[in-house]
Amino acid sequence: MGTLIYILVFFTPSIVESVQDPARAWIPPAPDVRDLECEAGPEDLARREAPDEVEPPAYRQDYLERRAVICRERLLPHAARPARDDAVLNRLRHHAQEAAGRVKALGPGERTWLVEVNYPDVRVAHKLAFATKTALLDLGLRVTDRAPALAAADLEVLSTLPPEKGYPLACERMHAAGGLRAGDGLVMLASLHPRETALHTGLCVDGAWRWLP
Amino acid sequence: MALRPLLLFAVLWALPACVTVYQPLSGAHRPVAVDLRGPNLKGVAVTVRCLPSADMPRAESGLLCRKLARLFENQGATVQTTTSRERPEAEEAPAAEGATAEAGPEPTEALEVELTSRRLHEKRTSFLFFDYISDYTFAQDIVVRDERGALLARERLVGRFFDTLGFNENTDLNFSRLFYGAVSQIALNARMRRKVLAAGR
Amino acid sequence: MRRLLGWLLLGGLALGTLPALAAPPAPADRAANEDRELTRLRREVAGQVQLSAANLLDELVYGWAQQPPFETPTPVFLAGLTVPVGLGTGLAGLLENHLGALLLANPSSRVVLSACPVCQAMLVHSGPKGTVVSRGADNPQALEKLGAGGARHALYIDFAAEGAWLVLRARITKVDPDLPIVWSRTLPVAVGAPSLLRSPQHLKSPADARQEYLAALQNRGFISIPVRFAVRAYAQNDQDIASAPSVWLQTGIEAALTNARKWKASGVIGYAWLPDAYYGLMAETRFGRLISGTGRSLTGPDVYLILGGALVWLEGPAMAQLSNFAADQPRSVYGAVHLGLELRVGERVGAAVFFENMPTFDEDQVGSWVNFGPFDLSALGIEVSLCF
Repeated sequence: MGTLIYILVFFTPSIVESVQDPARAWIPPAPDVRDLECEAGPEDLARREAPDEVEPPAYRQDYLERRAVICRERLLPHAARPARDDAVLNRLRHHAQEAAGRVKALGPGERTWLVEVNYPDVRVAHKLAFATKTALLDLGLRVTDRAPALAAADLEVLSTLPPEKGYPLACERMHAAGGLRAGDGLVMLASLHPRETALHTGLCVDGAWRWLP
Repeated sequence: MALRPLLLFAVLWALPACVTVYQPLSGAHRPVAVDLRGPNLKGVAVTVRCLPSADMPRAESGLLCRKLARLFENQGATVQTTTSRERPEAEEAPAAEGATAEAGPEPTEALEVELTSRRLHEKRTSFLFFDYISDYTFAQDIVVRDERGALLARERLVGRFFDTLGFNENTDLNFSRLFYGAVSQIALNARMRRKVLAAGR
Repeated sequence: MRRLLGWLLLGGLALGTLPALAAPPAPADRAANEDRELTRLRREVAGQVQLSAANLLDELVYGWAQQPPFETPTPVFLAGLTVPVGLGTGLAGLLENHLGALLLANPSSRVVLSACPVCQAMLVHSGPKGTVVSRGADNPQALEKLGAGGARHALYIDFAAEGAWLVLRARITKVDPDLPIVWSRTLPVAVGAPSLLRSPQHLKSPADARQEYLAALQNRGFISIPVRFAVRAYAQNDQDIASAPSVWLQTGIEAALTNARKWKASGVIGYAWLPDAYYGLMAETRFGRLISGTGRSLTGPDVYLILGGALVWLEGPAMAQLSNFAADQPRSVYGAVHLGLELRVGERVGAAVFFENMPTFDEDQVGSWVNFGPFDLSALGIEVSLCF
């Protein structure tokens, strides 16, 4: 009986408190650590983020050091999408803003930008293109929904070339065939390795291709 | 009444104990697409530089370097390790400009992976004669450069270990799986970035 | 009854252990199980996302109502609405309907939703530069030839799941040969953020809606007065004789201990009276911990884990079984600890079920519904409460 009282007195508050701890939740079972996005910081941070969860500070100092870890569960668990798509989509905003920032860093210009994405999954490519167009517009650049069409014969030849030769040739052909007009620029987001989760930004301007550092 | 011992057994079996939990914070739990045993770094000479700091003594840096060396070797790389900013003595000169990408045992690409650890926060718990760290948040800065010193990747992995009441946690496995996966992914991404930069020169 | 509860507990334990002992499924079965589980998971996420996505559309239309993208009411057709990769297209249909309803209810947005079947159809267009297969909206020259050209605008909306954030991106493209994007916006929302629950006719900014939510949290008051009607049924003793159940009317004070009402406490006094049977008084105090969420819901029921103690005085002929005082008629005075669950709906109605441990009695007076180690749970309580 004494042991049980000890357990109740010392363990119950901790068990009850951990019921809703996202990292240690008991009811329901704890989510996989890969599905939580957590951020550690001072208690003020938690109070700002979740005023309905965290109490205002006590009027009297209680001499306890408190830190907050704010955890948000990912919308789609990692198992719901292939790992590479999941990695790219979870950082969609980052990829789009990074590409747009690199284009903007080239300096002010009156170019109209077209956006293309080379990624194996067409749904992911669509989202990357959408996000990049929006990010370019947010930076005050001019963007069009036109697509730089290539002839079927060009595509057939390009598909046999390695990336370092394929992209410059594609750029040349787009320019020559009129898919890219004078005053147009193409922003290309490309993934070059089947297990890569980063994206590379290339530019096609006036028929010349270059990767942005 | 036969039920009573069974119930007591169930309660004792389910009783939680003090366990250490690993909680990945920013960067440390991104999805990983690489296969940790695939030839992701075949033909690459990797120099792993684990820099000691006030929060990570040289011996621990050396251990981290050795584990990472094994990780990259498993992925086909030729690895050298160091715990100082100096170049490893046995390291050969970096690949000359315009080196051809010949298939062969000699590495044709080089990456330098530099790791620095910092302790962001720790909480000590004292009880009678015991004094131990019960909550610990670390940051691992990873910088990858090519043979010319061009920056290819810069990432910070933040994680937290803390003691709590719970059931047995396989903390080491969780940490290793996530940490080595993240480092491998950063290395592969850096290798592809190096290729792109080389094509642009 | 006691035996039944015992078997139920044993059954629960066995059911919990059996899956671990069973042979692992064959690989084909495992793949099918994983597929099924994934489908269930995606359906579940789609259900959770729907409200957040609808809120983002509310915010989009609210933004248009405040700063219209056009000078005059302009026909726009929905060229595409895509949902996060991994979720089904049923969600897209629901969101299209919601957007339509919002735009009809908010003409001040100056975005007039119109149909353009040709714009969404696949067209094959042969010209001097070759044959192009594309959607109508992507080929303005082909639309021109079909007589469907003119000043049209295409609206594209995309929802993306980026970690813990659901992000809406929208753009409007003018359908002319240059296809320029004339307007765009990105709106993120954290998953799990409280629903704004705005009606389509009275849209609010997220800042205003959040302020209302916080005000609602804070204005609920920390003190309420509960009136409880409770029945306690006592277990049979070892001669299969049970005491009469006691019926209580209780009132007192209940206090929320935290803003989100995760913790609460109450103190009540109760009166029991059954003519010619018994009468009694009790004082009871109780703590409650919310277990159904991180904070009290503004819209749905909540479940609390309750733990409390009571001091009870009962007197009368029906209480002979529980009598522990020598007096003119049977009299029982005892302390009890109870543990149970309480369901609460808003600040008005609640119902609870709990087991009570009465340590001062032995088995020839009162038995137990459930044995839990050294604890005999001797009384089963059910109560209904109203709060004022």
